[in-house]
Amino acid sequence: MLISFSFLGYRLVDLQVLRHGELSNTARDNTVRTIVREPRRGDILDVRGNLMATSLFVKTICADPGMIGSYGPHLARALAPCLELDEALLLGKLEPKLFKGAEGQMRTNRYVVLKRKVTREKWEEIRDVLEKVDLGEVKGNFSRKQRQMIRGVRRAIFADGMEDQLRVYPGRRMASHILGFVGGADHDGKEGIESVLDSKLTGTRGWRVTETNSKGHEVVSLRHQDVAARNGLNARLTIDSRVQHIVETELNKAMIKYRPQGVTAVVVRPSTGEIIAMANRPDFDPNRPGDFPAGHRRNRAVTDIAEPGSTFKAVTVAAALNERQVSLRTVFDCERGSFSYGGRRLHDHHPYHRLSVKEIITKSSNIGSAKVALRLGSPKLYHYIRQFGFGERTRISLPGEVRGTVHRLNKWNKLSITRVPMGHEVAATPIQMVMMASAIANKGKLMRPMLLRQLEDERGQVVVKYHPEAVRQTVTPDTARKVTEALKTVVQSGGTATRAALEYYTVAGKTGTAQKAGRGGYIPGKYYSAFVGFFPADRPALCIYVALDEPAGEYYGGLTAAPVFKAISERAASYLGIKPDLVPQGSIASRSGGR
Amino acid sequence: MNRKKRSSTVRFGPALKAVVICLVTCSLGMGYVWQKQQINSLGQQIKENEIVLEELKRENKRRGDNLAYLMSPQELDARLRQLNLDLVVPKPEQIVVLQELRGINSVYRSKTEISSVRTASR
Repeated sequence: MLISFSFLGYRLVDLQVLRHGELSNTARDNTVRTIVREPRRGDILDVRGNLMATSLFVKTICADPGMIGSYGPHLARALAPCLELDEALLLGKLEPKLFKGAEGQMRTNRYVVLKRKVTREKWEEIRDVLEKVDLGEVKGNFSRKQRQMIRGVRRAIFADGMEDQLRVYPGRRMASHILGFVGGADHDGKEGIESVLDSKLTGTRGWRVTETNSKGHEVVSLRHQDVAARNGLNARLTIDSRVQHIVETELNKAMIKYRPQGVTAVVVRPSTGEIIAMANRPDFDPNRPGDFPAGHRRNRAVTDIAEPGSTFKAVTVAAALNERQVSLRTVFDCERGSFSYGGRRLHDHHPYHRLSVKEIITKSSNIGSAKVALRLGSPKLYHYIRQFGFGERTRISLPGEVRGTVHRLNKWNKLSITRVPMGHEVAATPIQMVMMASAIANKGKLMRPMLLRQLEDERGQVVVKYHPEAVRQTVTPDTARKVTEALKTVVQSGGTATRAALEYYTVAGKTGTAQKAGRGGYIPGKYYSAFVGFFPADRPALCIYVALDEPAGEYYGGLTAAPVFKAISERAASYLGIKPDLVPQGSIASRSGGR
Repeated sequence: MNRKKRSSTVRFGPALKAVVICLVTCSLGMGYVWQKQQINSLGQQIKENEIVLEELKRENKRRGDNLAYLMSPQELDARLRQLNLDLVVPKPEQIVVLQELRGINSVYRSKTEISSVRTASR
């Protein structure tokens, strides 16, 4: 009796004192669980709150091949259609594999990933299939133990406790270059806004330290720590998805009609620099970016440069007007289409004799603009080119923006003063071009392009609000008004872009057709055609830039880009309810006196 | 006599005390157990409510996403094509902008503005 009690006493001391640390750790490991609570990545919304990108919690479907044993073929046959996997491939994953453990003993693998990013609905479907799959227990005469084992086989297919996220872009290809996409194990933003705002969209992880009972269920009363995850902020853009859709459908039509290598359009609100739409073709689907070549994922509006061609004449004329070297009525001799300077000849598309500065813009005379620049002088021209933001990044909130090419003044050769004014020897991105035109529309004030309106928390409370940012005053408001006067004539009869004229709005714009430059000089037959314009000319609401890279057939900006500008403008103006400033001839309003 | 007297009197006091102590101890024990049981039961309820809340949030999100999809320009365009409604973009002269009415003066002003718009479009 005494010996028994002594033994029990020793055992008590052994368990409670001598092995206390080890056993309490084992007990804690068996019951205490630390659960990481993943934050949901923030949504990306358009200016009206329409969803452009969102995240869903999804499952990772796994299996324990060690428990499946010989039932692999049954499960593979039943689950392959559901998991959208090849049956043989699935069977390969379900078959137990033997490997040598750390201590040299043979083991089977207990964890294999069958499929990632499976939605909750799909997981429910898989569970249904698992419940119904025939593993032979209906017909067979199995013992209780065998039935228990079969139940274990069904449990061998499970969803990993750690939830994953799936980024969904409901608009599919819409605004793909702006949004970018996410990738990698950590669900990081890879391009576009997803990349720029990655830290804001990601959020912060939470955790829960809790205890479970023998069945593995949580005992809520024994929760030690419970810190909720802080979901990522929602980003509200300045993009209007309806205008974006209009632009994209018109670009699709342009791709079919003019068969270019690529096409780009940017729509800006000149007074604030807000980008309402930005699109490129070719494009990609951010839901499956890997299916597209890298070139399709490039946002040409900020990463690609091209000689702006005649659209640049607006800068030359603005500079000369601002320096009071010329007025709109100053007349230049355009040499009947052939002008010799620095030992080289400069040509116009049509021979012109004497043209005023206004007409130089209307007719897009190369010789006229060269002569305006000669009167202005290289240093002043260079100064205004930089004033309009060429040769520097616009600081748009998108990755990969380039600064373009503006050679330093000391690198200019003898011919540069006649070539730069017509958009040669310089290279600019579409975003630089549209911001230049917006500056003219905005009384000479250059704005920083604005793509982000605000960051909100999940309840819609504004956390950060972004405001329009003026970069600098490029020219005086009076000069901007005079340039606008000249640009209005471009779309009128006798101008180079009559196809850009709108029925209800006065348009001010400029065409540009530049030969593409290659390694050995200009490439024959390859052009970059563009049109940049704004309307209503005297109270600009929208500024739109359209460029086609190597259109097939017709290649003049006035014949290719201008009609696209018109189509976008008409639909966007109607949708945005922009007040008309013109009463078309023969309309009801004009018959009643045009009041 | 004294012995007789002693044996027949206060023996109930200690017994009563013992009963009271037992009752208090028992009720404390019962209370403790009941409280623990309540904590567990409330914990279970919390867990169930958390699951329901999570489910509702998920459902809300699913419906929100579905609404966003149905309201997307591509979907609306596709529906228009499917229903063959022949809708076209209205011309500016076909659009009448109505002013929001606030107060009597603004009502009067707005009415005159609206009537002038009507005159112009006739």
